[in-house]
Amino acid sequence: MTRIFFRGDLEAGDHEGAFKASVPVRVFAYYVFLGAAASLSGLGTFKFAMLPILLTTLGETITLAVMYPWAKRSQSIAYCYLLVEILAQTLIFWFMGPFRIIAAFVVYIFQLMNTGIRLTRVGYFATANVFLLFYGGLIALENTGTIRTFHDNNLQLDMSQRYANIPIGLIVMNLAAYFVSSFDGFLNEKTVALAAANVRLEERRREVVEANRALEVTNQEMADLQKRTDEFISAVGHDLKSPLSAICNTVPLYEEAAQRGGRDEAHGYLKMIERNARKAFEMAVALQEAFRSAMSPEPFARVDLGEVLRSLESEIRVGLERQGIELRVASDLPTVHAQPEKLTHVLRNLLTNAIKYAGGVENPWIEVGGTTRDAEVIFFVRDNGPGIPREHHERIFKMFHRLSDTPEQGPEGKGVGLAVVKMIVEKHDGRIWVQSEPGAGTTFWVALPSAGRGMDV
Amino acid sequence: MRKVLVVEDNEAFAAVMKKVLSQYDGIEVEVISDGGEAIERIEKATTEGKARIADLVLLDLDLPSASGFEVLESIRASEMHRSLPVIILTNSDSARIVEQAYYLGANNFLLKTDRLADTLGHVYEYWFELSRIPSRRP
Repeated sequence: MTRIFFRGDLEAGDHEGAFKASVPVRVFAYYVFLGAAASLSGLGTFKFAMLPILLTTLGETITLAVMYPWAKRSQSIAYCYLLVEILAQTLIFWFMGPFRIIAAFVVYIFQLMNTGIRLTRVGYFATANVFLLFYGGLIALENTGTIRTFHDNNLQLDMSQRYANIPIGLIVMNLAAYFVSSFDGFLNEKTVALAAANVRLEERRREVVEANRALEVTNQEMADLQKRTDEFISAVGHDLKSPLSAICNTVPLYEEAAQRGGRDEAHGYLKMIERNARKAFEMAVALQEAFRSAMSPEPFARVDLGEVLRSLESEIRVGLERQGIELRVASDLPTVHAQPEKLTHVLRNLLTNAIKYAGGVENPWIEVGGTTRDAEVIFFVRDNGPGIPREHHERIFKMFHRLSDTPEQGPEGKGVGLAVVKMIVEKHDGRIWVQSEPGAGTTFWVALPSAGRGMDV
Repeated sequence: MRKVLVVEDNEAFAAVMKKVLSQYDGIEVEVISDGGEAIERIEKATTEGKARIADLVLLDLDLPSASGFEVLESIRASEMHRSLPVIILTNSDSARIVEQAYYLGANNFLLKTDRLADTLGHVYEYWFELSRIPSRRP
């Protein structure tokens, strides 16, 4: 039923905007026809027909405005809408006198093009003929004297003339239905093309929005990176200041002692100056190395942690054997989306750290394991070494944390290793933390997003 | 004789401080290079209850075994050292650290510049010659 009368490609009444815009146009059009009818048929007819036409037009407009939103929701209400529309039209034309068929033709075209309810060809013919049915009914009622004749008293049309309007109407209305449906098909094609263009436009818009969002994310990443770099540089600046200002302050002491002839004292100050200069130099070297290993560009790839460990084996074997450390590697290590060299650096550092501090324990071992959980790849390097006191857990990840101002550096090195590891992990959007108690061994955990990030910097 | 305790682990800074402050009459300087050791000394002096460890403390923040803040806390926790003037002398100049220092009861916060001798001169002048709160009526 619906398929026969209503067109499927466009929903009934989905041109609400067009309808609303058409209301004043249509009201205006009625008055134009009204004026034409009045001038052609003489003032008398016009005066006689004026009030009912005005009322009917107003009523029709209001009824349609009220019904229209409902007609949008239900097909049966759309039918009612059409019927009311046709009835109202018929009544209007009824009052228009002898020109009503011509008026009906023009207004009907107007009407169907503007209502927004899209009909099939059959639908157009059906409504045109329902229109005629009403019209014929009215004439029959008039001719049998059931209703009064308003409009053509002075024209004195006889019965046959009045009935003759019906076959003329039959031809004219069906012709109108044919033209309208043809024109409407053309219009519909254009509408469908427009709708398709709109869909494409919407797709493009969405793409642009998506691209903008991606750009925002990249901007955010760049800002984060910048912030981390700034923090790093600021921290390093602070650390470098210490030995340098120590040198600045010791030089006058040296000069004074040298002038006084206190050779031993002067020599002592000179040694202090030298040690601090060396410290600053070592910091600069370590810094350069750290930047090289953490910040240099490298593309992301799928990295098998087991493979990374195998590649490190020859490097760490000597250390393991010398201290008699057993290395236990889980067989099911996960793969991760990362920068291969950087990730190797992380594992190398964690392993060499574990080896370095393994001394002094019976049956030392190091364990490496990992798993994929939720959106993260988590792996760990665990040892049964002496452990790290809780208060140092945060500090060990800081740059130069081992470079306390004591001149003896001990075996720990310059304390950049874990800071670099942390920088690398954070550049991967990951996290690193330590779990350790004195005497209970140490576990370094690393969590990296399993999907990884796309930024190849 | 008044005593200045320098808690500083960089030997060069310690030497400079000892040398500069010792030039002033009646000033005796002691250097401790380890935070933990400083805390032990404070606790010992408190238990003995005889004399304060010093008349003025110059305190670095980055120290081995215990930080300068921990030393400062232990000073303020001790009844007899509560009013002991403590001057933080450090490289760290972040607002957070300065705030933390004053919050924990530091009397002053100074930076280690390349002209530490001048800074120490001002410290001496202020804390040993000027720092008496003036009376309202002369």
